[in-house]
Formats: sequence, C-alpha cells, structure tokens
Amino acid sequence: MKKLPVIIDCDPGHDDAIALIAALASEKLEVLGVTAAAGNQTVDKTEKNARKVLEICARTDIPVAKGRGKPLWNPLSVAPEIHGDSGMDGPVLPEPSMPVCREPAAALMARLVEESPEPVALIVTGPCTNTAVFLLSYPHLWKKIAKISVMGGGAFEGNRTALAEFNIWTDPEAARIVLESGIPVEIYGLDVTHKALIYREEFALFREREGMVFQFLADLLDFFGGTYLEARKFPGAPMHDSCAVIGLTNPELFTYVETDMSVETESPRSRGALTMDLRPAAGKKPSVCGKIALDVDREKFLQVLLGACETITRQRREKGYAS
Amino acid sequence: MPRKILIDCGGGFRHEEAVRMADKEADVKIMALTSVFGEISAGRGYEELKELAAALSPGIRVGMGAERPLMRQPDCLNLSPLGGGCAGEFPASGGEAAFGETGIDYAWDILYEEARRSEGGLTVVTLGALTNLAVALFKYEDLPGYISRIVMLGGSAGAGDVSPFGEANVVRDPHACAAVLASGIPVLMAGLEATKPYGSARDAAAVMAALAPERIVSRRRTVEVDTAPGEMYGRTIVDPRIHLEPSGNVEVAERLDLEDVLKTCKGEAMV
Repeated sequence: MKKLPVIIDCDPGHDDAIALIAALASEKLEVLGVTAAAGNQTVDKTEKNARKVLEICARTDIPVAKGRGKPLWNPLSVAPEIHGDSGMDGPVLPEPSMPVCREPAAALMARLVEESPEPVALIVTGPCTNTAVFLLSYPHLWKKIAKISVMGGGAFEGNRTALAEFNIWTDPEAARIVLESGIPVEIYGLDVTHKALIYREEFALFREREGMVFQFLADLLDFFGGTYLEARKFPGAPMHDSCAVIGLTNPELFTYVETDMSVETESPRSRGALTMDLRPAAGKKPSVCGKIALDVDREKFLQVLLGACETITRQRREKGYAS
Repeated sequence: MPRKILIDCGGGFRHEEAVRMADKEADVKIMALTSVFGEISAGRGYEELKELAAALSPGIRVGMGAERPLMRQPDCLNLSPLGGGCAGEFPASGGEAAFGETGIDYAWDILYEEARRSEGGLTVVTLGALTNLAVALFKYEDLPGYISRIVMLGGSAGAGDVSPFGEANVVRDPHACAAVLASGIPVLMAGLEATKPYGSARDAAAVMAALAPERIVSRRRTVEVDTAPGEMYGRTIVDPRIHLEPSGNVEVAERLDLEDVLKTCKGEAMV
C-alpha cells in the first residue's frame, strides 16, 4: 500500500507527542521529517521534546529541525499551565542524544518536499509559523503539497480567548497565510478535539500495559489530564493533535463540513478566530479547498491510539530495544 | 569602499530608469535587483531585470520575488485601479512564471545573502510592495542586524493616491509594510509628500535619495500601518504629535532636493 509522505510541524506538547506516535505507527503514513515550532513552549524546548519522542519510538532516522523563535508578528506566549515548564512535563526522560538538524525548519521542509517523488502532506499541530514561512519562501513547491492537516481553531469556540484557539491565537497571521494559500486544507478544531477525549478512568488502559511506550503515554495523560482538569475543568485529556493525524489515516471516523476558511487578524475582539461561512450554500461558490471536522467516533479513535502504542512497542522490540 | 545597494522593484520602465541612474553613480555598487508583483507580475519583472542587469555593470544578481501579497485583500475596498496582480487578484496557486523550476534565486534569499556579505553596510531601496522584505524578515530572524537602512518609496502622511489615505505600494501589501516598520531596521519613508513633485520620476527620486541623504529634509516620526479592512486599509499612520519626538521609528521624508541631480543623471542615464 502506498504511504502518504508527511512532514509534521509541531510544538510538543503532550498531545503533539501522542500525535507523533500515532503518525509513526500508522502503516498509511511515511513521516519524512519533523519541524519544531514555538508555541506550547519555546522552540528550544519543543525541538528537544520532539527528539525525545523520536528516540522513544526508535526513529532517530527522522530529521528534526528547529523553526522560528517567535510568531510572525505576535510576541511568543507559551502555555506552562497546560504543558509545564519543559513543555512535556510528567514523563521523566533522558536528554536526547540524536542531533537536531542543522537546517532550519522551512529549509528542511523544502528539501523533503523537493526530494519526494510524490506530493507531501503537511500535518500542523502547533502554531502555523513554520508552515507559513515555508509557503512564503518556496512558492514553486506549493503544487507538491497534497494537503495541509491543521489542528487549530474552532468554528464556534476558542480556548485562549472566547473565539481563538491557542495555536491560531499564538500566530494568527501565519494561520491566515496557510488557509488563504489555496492548498487543500483540513481543520481539526476544538469543535471536534474536545470530543476526542480520553476520560480519566480510561488512562488505566495505558497504565496497565507493559512497556516504555504505554508508560510514556500514561505519564503524558496523567499530567495533561491533570492540568486540563485544573485549568479548564475537563473530565479527561482532549487529544487535539492526534485528530490532525488520525483524520488523514482514518477519515471515516470523522464528520466533516466542506467550507473555505480563513482567520480574523484585524478585529481586536475576534483576533485569532477561525472564519468560515456555514450558511446554506444557495448562491455561494463551491468550496475549493477546505473542510472542517466537527465530530468523531471517540471509542474507535481511542482504539487507534491504543493500537499505535502496540505498534511502536513491537517496532522497538524488533529493533532490539528494551520494551 | 563603494556604497552597496539592493533595489527591490515592481518592474516597468520607471524602475529601469532609476536602476540605470544608480548604476552610473560613482562609488555605488548595485548588489542585486529583485522583482515583486505590482504593475506587472514578479515573473515578468524578473525576466526584465535579468535583461537590464546584463546591460549594466557586471556582477549584479537578480532575484525572483513574491507574486502576491502576504494576505488576501479584503473585498469591497474603494480603490482606484492598482493595476497588475493585486486588487482582487489572488491566484490560488503560487503563480506563474518560474514555478515548477528548481534552483530559483528568490528575492528574500538574495537579500539575506547580500546583507550578510555587506556586514551591515547594505542599503535596501524598495520601489514597490514590501512583500519580499517581509518574507526575508520571517525567514531570517537575524536579518535586521545586517541591513543598514531601508529607503522605501511609499506611504503618505496626508492624502493617498489609490484610496483616500492609501498609497499604492503600501496598499498592495499593508501587512508586509507593517512587518518592515516593526523590524527595528532604520527606515526612510519617501512618501507621496516628498516624491509626488517628481511625477513619473518618483522611483528615480527614491533611489537618489538613498544615495544622497544630505539632500533629504526629514523628520523622525512614529509610523504604523493600518491593516484593518475598510477606509483605512493600507494607510501609513504618521503620528504628527511632535511633543512625542524623538521616539519615532521612521524618518519621514518631507522634501527631496534632487531636481538638479535628477536632470543631470537623467541626461546620462538615457544615453
């Protein structure tokens, strides 16, 4: 089966780490590279976390590149109240030994897309900063981008502000550049990611399984679920970023609406809000390139994540790593 | 040591005249010419600049710039025709011309390379939308330290030309102009007040202003760009409150005393 080549632009981040594992485990995706964005934490911390995840997954063959230190316009505002000081508090992991790529993020993305014989999909689970820089800097590569799957926004709800979700709020101009590019885009916003919950009583499904990968997930869930309960009053851990991955591998689990989208950058009250017109289509031009996920089969989604942990555990064993 | 400049242009005959003049100046070295969408596409501008560079002093690099502004222009703006690839035009793909090829010399990469090579001694003159400069700033976070000054043909402290308060080069990409003004790089704004008297030689006036700063009468002001859709889209907001000096971020040119210079150079450049 032909795999879809993907590049993952992320800011690990607990849910980014889980999304990376889901992507690495999938037989439908080939992860060409990982780029680290500033968002949940500084880019120095997120790139280190990305390398830690790749080392747990025994995938040190995948390059990790560092992106911009700050959003395109905004100053950087990180989220330690959700992700802790390291950006991935909870699990205790050694410092990564694999090197970080010498190329900056946009240059790595360009090289991987250029070298790929097939169009490449971009999965963006952090602010769109790096992806926007890549698009602006290499316009001749747009036609080699199959689609961009973005965790961000919400049709009708935000979390950082009333209307703005954290990733898009962190860099609204970058998100707008991505969404206005005309490249096919899929959005997994809070409308669906808040439904992709792992409830606290289900954390045991990971904790009770042996092996480093399951224990890593359990540690992530314990911390992330804890901060979400304290800071956001949630009964579980929302798997925001895994939606952007599993939406590519298992779209049948999601319900979508086709619509063009952009981001409000100018209105002070609505800055960072995802914009779209969901009114009945009479008289409107057909959507050219966007869809937004609004619902998910939560139980099957959870099974995919459990399966991903099993796959990575097996892959580690096959490579001679301790479970 | 020659003064090093890079000229970022929207193409067309007016820019050709300005570039030829700069090339003829003693003690000036044009490091590169870069194209940007404007009255003609960046792709066509790139081809024209390559031809032009071949006829000038040796070693001038040519860069291919942006085919579109950073953001989609809002609907329903009350603009006079901007011409070329801007108002209402927002190609779904990256555009035409050189796309599909590898090994393209992009404007933002050339700008960064020349700025670094000049070790802080490069003056950048922009004669069109500021998109290329903005992309360079986004891609290269350390760029500001390597550019000595930007001389920008554009903006207005008073009335506009394509809208009541908007000047064409800023209206073409207000977000890019905002990024440049916020970058910390010293900027001289050669806006409508100072350049309109030169009519179709505005571009040449801006280039000569970069090369003859002693002929500029200017004032330090705080300048921001309005990017909100509506009447103020693309307006350079020049704060007139002189009691707030000298906190401004931009030198705003009020007058350019260049008539004699332009006459002389024009005579030579047209040869």
